[in-house]
Amino acid sequence: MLRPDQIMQEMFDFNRKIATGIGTLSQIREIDVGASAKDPVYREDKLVLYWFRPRVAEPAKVPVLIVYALVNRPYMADLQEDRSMIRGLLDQGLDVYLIDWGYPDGADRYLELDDYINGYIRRCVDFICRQHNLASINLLGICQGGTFSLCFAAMHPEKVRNLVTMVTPVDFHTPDNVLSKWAQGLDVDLMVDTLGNVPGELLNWSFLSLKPFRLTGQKYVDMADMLEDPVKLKNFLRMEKWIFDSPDQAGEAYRQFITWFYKENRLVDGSLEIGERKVDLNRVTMPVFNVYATEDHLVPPGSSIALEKHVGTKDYTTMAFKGGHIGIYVSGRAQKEIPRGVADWLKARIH
Amino acid sequence: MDERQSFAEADWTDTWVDMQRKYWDAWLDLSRQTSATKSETAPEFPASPWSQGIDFWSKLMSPAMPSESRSWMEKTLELNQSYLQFGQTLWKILSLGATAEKDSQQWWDTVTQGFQKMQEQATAGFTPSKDPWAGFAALWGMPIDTWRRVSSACSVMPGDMEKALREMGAPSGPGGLPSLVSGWLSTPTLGYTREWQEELQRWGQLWLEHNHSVKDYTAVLSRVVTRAAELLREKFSEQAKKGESLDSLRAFYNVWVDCGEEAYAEISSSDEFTRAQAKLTNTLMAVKRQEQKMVDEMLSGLNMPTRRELDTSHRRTHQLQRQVWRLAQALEDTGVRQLHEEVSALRRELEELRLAPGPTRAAATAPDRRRQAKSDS
Repeated sequence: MLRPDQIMQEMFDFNRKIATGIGTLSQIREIDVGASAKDPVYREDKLVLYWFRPRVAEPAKVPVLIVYALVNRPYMADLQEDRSMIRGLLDQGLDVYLIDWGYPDGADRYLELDDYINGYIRRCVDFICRQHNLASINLLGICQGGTFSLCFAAMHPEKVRNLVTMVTPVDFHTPDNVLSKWAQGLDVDLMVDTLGNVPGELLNWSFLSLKPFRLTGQKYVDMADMLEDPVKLKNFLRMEKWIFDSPDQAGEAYRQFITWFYKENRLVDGSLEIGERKVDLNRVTMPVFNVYATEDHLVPPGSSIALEKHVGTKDYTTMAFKGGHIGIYVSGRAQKEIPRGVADWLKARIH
Repeated sequence: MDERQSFAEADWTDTWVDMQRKYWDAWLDLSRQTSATKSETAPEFPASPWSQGIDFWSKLMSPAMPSESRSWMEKTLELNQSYLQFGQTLWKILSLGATAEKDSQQWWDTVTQGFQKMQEQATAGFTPSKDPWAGFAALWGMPIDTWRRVSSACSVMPGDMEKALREMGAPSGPGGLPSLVSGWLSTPTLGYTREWQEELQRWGQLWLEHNHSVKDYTAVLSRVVTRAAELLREKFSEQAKKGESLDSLRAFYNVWVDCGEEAYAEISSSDEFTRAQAKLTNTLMAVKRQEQKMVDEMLSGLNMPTRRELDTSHRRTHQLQRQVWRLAQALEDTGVRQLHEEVSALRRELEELRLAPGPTRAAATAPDRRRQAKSDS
């Protein structure tokens, strides 16, 4: 049974770890992210389209374009050498492109979903098609980027050879979607009219508020155990950097996303229109590979799984990853399972 | 020369640890004494408990400690505040004599009662009109602390303005500050600046509404504390029945966090919480909106660019940009790009032919000559 003097000793050890951790910290210096060699091949406003240098002699003929969310930064998919989904895809012989949305500022506040999906994504796809002399390419959307990819595929099916969605919200009104419940009473018009762009800090508050005790308390207590190990500490700090590296959200696009998707669930009720184009998921007839995380607290599994009911494709595959929204990119198991799963599925469909 | 400044930077951590050890040793002795006996009252806790103790040492070492290390340590300790507070609470409970219990069931009962008492004390101090952040924040600090930061970032007024006003002696009884302010807000405005006074009053009304919503939000949050304590009792009871023990502070803390998350998950998905949280955000936005309006008025008076003007400018620029995108897309769709590329390719080919040696050029141009001859005849 625990005694008071044990507590004292534990507290002392805890504080000693923090003190010695400063020494470890001085060895770390800058927190570097991004493990794979890449080149910017197309730029537009704040968007940069990157092409990753292949890691095999003859990569697949049809490239994959990764569409990341507007929330947080895309380097999560290429965090470090041993935690990189992109590196895994390259090792599997895929030819990979990635859209980096950059950091919107006040001049971007009137960007709409139409600009992002029928504008930026479309032009990136067209650029890659021209580069490879192809009519269509593979699209891999992550989280909100998955929702965008889905919309794009529904509006421009002729440009998408195969569609991969990862931890992608589709049905925003499943009972376990806490973020959606919170959004219902939010006066998003007042918020955007007031703030213009929505600050990344505000979104971070929402995400941290989903599990406040673990994400703002326990996590840092656990960190004390890593302080004597520079490698572990650096890994922790990389994640920490990513979590709080939150770009502001272009106001109009945010207003539309919260209203049309979170509040009104238009994507699945068939009433969604973006830029005067109807988004009909029945038009998603290309092969679809849907990857979701069973412990996802941001995008509940039910929200992703719902995709099967709504798409028009006859070639639909689901992959359940046992882990959370972040673990699907950075956990050790994810490195083995996700790139191989995606690559095997794609290779079987690249003719 | 100040003695503290004589510490070399390289060995300050050793000195820091050494000084801490002496500090802790004193309290370890006290802990050992209290754990051997069962008493009705907890021993007086150190004037500088763990968190403050670290702060004390950190300040003492400041001259020798590199500034980046100091700020990192301060931040780390701040982030670990809930753990330090939890350790302090558990230390108190155990020092009351739980460790004198020989029987496992009795030990768990004593610990459970201690946590219950702690929770009652925390919620007893919770009087919304006095300090809306009390009760919940006393035990967790989050997500209240994060919300304060967000509020501060979203407003020209500091997020903890109400706290500052209370500390300045503003009334804290029933009605308290809001009733004092609402009196001023209902005063008719007069004279040359009456419009501006009305704007100020409007801001005050919105700020009061936000103040109410903060209270509602923290009132719902405070239920997390109660529910977490209930869950903790249940878990402790299960542990006791199984004859299991938690043999470290960390193990206790982890169970406490699990209970907190479970309780929070139940409450945060309720309609009441959802409404309270939405109202909290909406009222803050309304305050900020009014602030913007007032700031714009002032900027306009100074003949400086306003938010409204910038918004108009950005909107028009964006409309133009969309038109350009649409035109470019329309050109693309009509195949102009392909035609352009084809013409360029033909031009290149023609140029190559012009530069080519005689026979090739003659062969290439022969049909032209034949056409010319035909037309001459």
